[in-house]
Amino acid sequence: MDFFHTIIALLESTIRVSVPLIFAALAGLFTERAGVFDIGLEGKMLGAAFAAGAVAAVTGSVTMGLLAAVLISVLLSLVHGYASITQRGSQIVSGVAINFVVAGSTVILGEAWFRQGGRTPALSGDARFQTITFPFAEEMRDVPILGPIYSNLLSGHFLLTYLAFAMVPISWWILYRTRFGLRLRAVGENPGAVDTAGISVIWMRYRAVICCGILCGFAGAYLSLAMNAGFVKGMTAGKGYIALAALIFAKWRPVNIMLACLLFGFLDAFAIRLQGNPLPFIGQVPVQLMQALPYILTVVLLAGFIGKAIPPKAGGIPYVKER
Amino acid sequence: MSNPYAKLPGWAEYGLIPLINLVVAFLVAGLVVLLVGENPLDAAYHMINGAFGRGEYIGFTLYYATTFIFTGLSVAVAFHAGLFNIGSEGQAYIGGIGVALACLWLDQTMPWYIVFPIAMLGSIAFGALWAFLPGWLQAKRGSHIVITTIMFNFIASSLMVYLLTRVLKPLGSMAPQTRTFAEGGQLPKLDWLLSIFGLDIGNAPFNISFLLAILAAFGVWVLIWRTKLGYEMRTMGHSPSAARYAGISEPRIIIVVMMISGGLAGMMALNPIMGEQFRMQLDFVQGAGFVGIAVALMGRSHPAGIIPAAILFGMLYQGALKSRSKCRRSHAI
Amino acid sequence: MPEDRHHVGLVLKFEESENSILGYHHDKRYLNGVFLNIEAIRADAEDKIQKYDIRPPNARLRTANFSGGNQQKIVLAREMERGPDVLIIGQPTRGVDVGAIEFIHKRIIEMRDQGKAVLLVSVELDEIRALSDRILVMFAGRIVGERDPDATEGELGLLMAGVEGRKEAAE
Repeated sequence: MDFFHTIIALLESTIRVSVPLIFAALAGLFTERAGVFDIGLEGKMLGAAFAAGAVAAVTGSVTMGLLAAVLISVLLSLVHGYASITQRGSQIVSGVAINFVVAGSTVILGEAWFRQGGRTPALSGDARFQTITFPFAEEMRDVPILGPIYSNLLSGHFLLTYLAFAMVPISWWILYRTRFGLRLRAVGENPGAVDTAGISVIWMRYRAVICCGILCGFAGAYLSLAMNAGFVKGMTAGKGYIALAALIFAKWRPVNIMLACLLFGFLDAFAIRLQGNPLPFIGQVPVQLMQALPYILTVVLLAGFIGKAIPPKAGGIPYVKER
Repeated sequence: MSNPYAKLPGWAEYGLIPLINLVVAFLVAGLVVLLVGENPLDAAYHMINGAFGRGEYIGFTLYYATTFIFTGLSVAVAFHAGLFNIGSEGQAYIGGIGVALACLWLDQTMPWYIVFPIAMLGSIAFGALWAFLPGWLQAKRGSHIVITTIMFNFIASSLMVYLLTRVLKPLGSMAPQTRTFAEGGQLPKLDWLLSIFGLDIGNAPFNISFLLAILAAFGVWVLIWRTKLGYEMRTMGHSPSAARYAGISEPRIIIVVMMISGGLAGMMALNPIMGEQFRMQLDFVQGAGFVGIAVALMGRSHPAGIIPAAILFGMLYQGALKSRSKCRRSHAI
Repeated sequence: MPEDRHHVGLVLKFEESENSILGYHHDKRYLNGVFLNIEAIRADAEDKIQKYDIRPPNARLRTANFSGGNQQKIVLAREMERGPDVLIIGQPTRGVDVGAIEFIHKRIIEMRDQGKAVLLVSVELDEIRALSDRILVMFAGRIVGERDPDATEGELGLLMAGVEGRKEAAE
């Protein structure tokens, strides 16, 4: 029974750390499917987390925090869009620049406004997301097997957590079952054909980039308003890049993205839990290996040793209307 | 025939446009400073004073510039072949292993001028190795170099945590770093160079790896514009189809260029490890690989542009550190 | 000689002299060990500029700044000066001004007169009929007929459309 409880606890923390990955990877899905590569997921998430933490601390309202997060993240997306869609600059340079500028300015602004070494003030009460407890969760707790699953694993998460998992089928539906989604994917595969059909490639890509901004905003807000009580400098700690890895690992498909994020989240949660404890059968495994595993797996996948990750065809190439 | 590339005069392309970019960047930065509620002119004064106000500050500025010259060159070399090496960060980090091993092995028995070249070769070898893998994967397996180099940055970071906490750390020590090197693992400062200009180096770690960086810049210029390999690199960078027509082997160029790029990034490790800290610490690269991207872009991937761009970024680094500590002091009062 | 000079035959951002060795950069004449022999390359380029009347006569100018005709002459000079026995030319006069067309045509004939084999591929029927000794028409990936240069345009046109060709193939 003790083993079972460990598993439940492990899965619960897996869900907790996977949420920002799912949001960010889905965000990347929208832009990359539309042909705009985005290395700036990390920066957008960080900017959003900061905006959420700062605004929630000042206004005391979690809703305002969330809105601020989405707003900042969308603005950053539009900067990326302007540089890479309108100006046809390098999408990679633009993404790297956003990451860099955000990492620097959140520290400067945080220090200047709150003077807590780059943190925002700790949030409590209405300024932070509260967990949602399902009905009868307390009563169910003692039921064997199903009880812990229901009351610990399924119940007791944040609204954003449920939203993240809901976004997976929603994204799938948008991308594969709506006209908008069809066009979005077409713009990423063959923008010339979309243009011929009389649809603006530029505007389609902008809309995709805005979708990305909204989702990154959720990811950032989750970090500073739900998972933690406030913003800490550099709190994304490479999650944007893991999300990027998950996106590739999932071969740019929504359901695979959720699974990849859960896998990478599980590795993370497992590594934390493992710290210093030997694994059965395998023995001592360095934590660092576990932490590097998502990246190693992605590289192996990219190399075509396990399946082949084929990116959207027009990805990374600015669209030039033929003269 | 429409002419797609209207050519600007050289002075405009390499002098004016970067200058305009710079001015715009400073104006934006000024806005941020205003947002924070400080006077931008004051901030600029503090920054410039902090970077150049004293011999010691200049020494620090040039110390940071040394680091950025290496990473800037690393990114620029790859750029010329049309490759985007975001992995300079990780390559520099891994390059540190080469430096540390050379120092740990020889520092007590050999003088610095023996250890330095060996450490240099070590840093090049390890940096190049770390760049070889993404290069090979791009050349032979078609994996996108940008993504693989990002992944390799993180793998490098985990690897280094492992090595520094388990392998390279002296027994009984808690801090994740190597032991402090003896005299042989410490590079001499360039105090004489500054004293020519009547400046006192103070505590600044400005050391002879700066001269190596200048030499490397010259070497990169020769490589790109005066060798056959450079010619092939540039052909591929400008037009892969023309390179194929000219019988240039794409996989070979990708792998060779990535290794050169990685070697240059690796050499960056000499500066902080042998020049300042005299030991290898966690995260000694501190984002210099990413700064290198900015330096390469601003310097138009030309060594003559990279050196001033690196000095500019060194100035921003040092100036920001100095003015921040000044701000903190004034708030404390 | 490739038909796409913008993407294949030339590197538009290179200096003229750099393009004049594209594909032949392994030649010992242009190298000092692993280094480029810049003087030799430039002298060689100046030489070709003279011979082929490339304008403006500046070997250090960026190739993109030359007109289409002069760009094509750079390619022509590079390939012909190697003295090949067989020359395959694709679309030598596409997007090229009248003066240059004449010059290029004259050079191609000269090659023939020297006893070299020239295979000309072009969509310009006038050009083909003016230059060729034998004309082979292709349709759907196969050679469907051979004609003399005095064949009429209509005749060639039918072959190109696959009309005559099918009959001949059937016979």
